[in-house]
Amino acid sequence: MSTTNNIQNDENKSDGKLKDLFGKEMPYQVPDGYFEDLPKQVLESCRQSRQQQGRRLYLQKGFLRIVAAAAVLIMAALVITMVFTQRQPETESSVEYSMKEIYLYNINNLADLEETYLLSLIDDDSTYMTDILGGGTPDISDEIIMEYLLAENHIEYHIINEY
Amino acid sequence: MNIDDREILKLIREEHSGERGFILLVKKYQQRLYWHIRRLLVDHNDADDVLQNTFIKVWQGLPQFRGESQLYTWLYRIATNEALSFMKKAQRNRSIPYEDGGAELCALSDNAPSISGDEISRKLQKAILMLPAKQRLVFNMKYFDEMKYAEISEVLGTSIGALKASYHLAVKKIEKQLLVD
Repeated sequence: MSTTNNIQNDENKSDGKLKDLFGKEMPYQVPDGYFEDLPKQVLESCRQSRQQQGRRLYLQKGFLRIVAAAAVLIMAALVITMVFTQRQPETESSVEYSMKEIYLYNINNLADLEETYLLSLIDDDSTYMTDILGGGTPDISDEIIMEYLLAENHIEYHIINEY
Repeated sequence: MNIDDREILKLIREEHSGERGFILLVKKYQQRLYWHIRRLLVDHNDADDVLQNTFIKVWQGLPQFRGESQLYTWLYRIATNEALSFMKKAQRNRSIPYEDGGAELCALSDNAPSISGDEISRKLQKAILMLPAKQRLVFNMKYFDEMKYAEISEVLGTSIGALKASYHLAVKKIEKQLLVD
């Protein structure tokens, strides 16, 4: 209660002398009819601002549509790029065979190999490929090669006997 | 214009009477807001620009106005913010250093064709223009608009204690200035 009274008292103190001496008259002038015309002018300005706001919204929507279309295009381009970049290594890996793959292919497709190459394999140390390619790699044995060469009449039996 | 604020707001919120309600609002508050702005900016054309912008902001903000504060203090807050941002802009452009440029504002008040008044009121205005912007604001709202500290606090977002101190200081400075003259 006393706080309210203090505030009430404070509301009117300290400027009493000023008010007595100087009053509240303003030295500023206003053009004739200013306040009569102002409401109409203000309403007109408000209508214009609403139209401008509408236009701005329309432009913003148009801009958003362009941005959305650009985003879709960029996404599509990204997807296409990703698809191609993912497929490329697959193509390369199908061309680039590992040494192990070539070796395994050769074992199973002796007919594709030249006779001299097959003979050179007979001369090889039989553990050579297993050492290089690691454990579990089936070794191509001399017997398999010789049987193949004989069956295909690449060599005479007496030549084999010489080995 | 004695129409109640609630009545004005009701008219504004109804589609068929929205503009009529807004015109009533402008008519009711235009003079108080104009003088509030004019005392800060001195020049009529500046005050007119700021007042029109104030009402445009009011028009745009009315749908969001929930009536949690009084319509009167809400309008004052918008007008004050518009005037202060105008002052800042003018200060940046170096046309008028509003913040601490009491002397320049006094010169403007001496030379502008829209300013007359007797010697006493001119002296008082000059002394007020020498105050820093915040003190000037508080002084004007208290002295001329006869607003309560609680209302000024709502408009400026400053504590009542700080406002009292600010007003007291402003009065002392003005008295000192007037004694010198």
